[in-house]
Amino acid sequence: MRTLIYVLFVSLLLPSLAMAQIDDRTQEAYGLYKLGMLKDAAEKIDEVVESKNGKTDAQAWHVRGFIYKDIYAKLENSAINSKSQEEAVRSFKTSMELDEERKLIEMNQLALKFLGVSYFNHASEIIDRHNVYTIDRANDNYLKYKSLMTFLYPDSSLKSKDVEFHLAMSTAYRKIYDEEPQNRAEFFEKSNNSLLMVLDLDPNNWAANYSYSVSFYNKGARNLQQLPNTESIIDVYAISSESMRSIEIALPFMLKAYEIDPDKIESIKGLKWILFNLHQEEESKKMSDLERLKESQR
Amino acid sequence: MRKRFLIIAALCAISASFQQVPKLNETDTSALIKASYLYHFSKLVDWPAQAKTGNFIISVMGSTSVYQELVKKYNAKQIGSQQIEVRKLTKTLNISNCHVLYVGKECEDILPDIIKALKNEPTLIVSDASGALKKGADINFIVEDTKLLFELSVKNATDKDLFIGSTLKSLATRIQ
Repeated sequence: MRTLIYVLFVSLLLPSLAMAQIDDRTQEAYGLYKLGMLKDAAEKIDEVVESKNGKTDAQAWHVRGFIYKDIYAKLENSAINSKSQEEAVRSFKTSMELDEERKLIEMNQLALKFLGVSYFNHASEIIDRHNVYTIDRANDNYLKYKSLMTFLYPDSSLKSKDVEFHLAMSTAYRKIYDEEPQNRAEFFEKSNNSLLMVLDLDPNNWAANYSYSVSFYNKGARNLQQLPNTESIIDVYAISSESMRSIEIALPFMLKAYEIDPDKIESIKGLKWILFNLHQEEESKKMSDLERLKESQR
Repeated sequence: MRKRFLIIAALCAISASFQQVPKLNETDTSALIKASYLYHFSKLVDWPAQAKTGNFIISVMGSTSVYQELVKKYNAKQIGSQQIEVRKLTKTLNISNCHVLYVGKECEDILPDIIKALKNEPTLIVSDASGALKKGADINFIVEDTKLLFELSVKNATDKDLFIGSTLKSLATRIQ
């Protein structure tokens, strides 16, 4: 996943006060905002938008959006799960809905884009930490990003971003699972579910096919490494049967990865090991020969 | 109020290493399973009294990966009161006393000669070759639907005073 950098020079970006008649209290809130008294400005503008006239005033909501955006960006240092960020989004969206003359549209859109990108970056940050307790919050932040982008650009496709996000989530879930495979089986499932979401969007995605295959192959191999701890031959029989089922699941996805990109050495190696462990020794040997050939051509 | 705004916005992206494909676990799983089975065969077969002293010797001819797995994971274990000792044999008919002899595929061609050489020894011969029970092996690994299973010959074992327990018989794919 890539981190988006959307640089808005917030010190230079000010609300657009475009209308002839502006509520005095909105002016007052704007003045406080310009002086950097953001909490006082927020209190004042909240009164305005809660008032009878203010709640349908696109300008008031627009100013409110900027005040809360700056609280989020400056006072809260762009913290994850910020209520101010949510309030800023709500304010700009309301302003856009009320702005029939579309005088504030450009500024509202730019500010919303900034906030949307912030959600995306929060998701990236959470993924990068791959913390067992917080990882699922990346989903919430990504959904907020998606929701805002869809609101701003209803005709645009976010498919490539979705693919990027689910691949990154799969990696994070897998890392969490790998830290304690015995206790974190649900993260194995989550990692694979993320890959299935990618395959649903793009069945020819090499990374998703390869990763899904390796995930099941490794699970099988890892289970078998527990064999020396078994007390009974019945357990050996059960564990080896279950492991072989995992390795069988891995095969078609590795074949697909190989079909998508026959030159990738990873798929060739993957097939070599999977086929070998499924006792298809002749086929495995062909892959082994191909691996040597590819490596000699490097 | 003067309408004033200046926006300098730039949208760019930087690469990050969030997406990584998993690393393949390059393991010979057959070796893990065979080593584990060899250990459990040793526990589930009863040897004559004269073989119940000294170390419990498991010899491996061919198949380095099975040998390595046995040495790494089972060398410190015991069969009854006997300490397991794993030995790697070259392709030879000069086989010293051992409780279990695993003959890998690489040595399949000399299996009949090995069986002949050990005819009167209480050695459980485990092989990896089709039709091996008919040649005189006691237990033979087979692959069915990708699963590694085993078949056994009670007669071949009994002829050498080896008693195969009921658990082992119940898990065998075929019994001769």
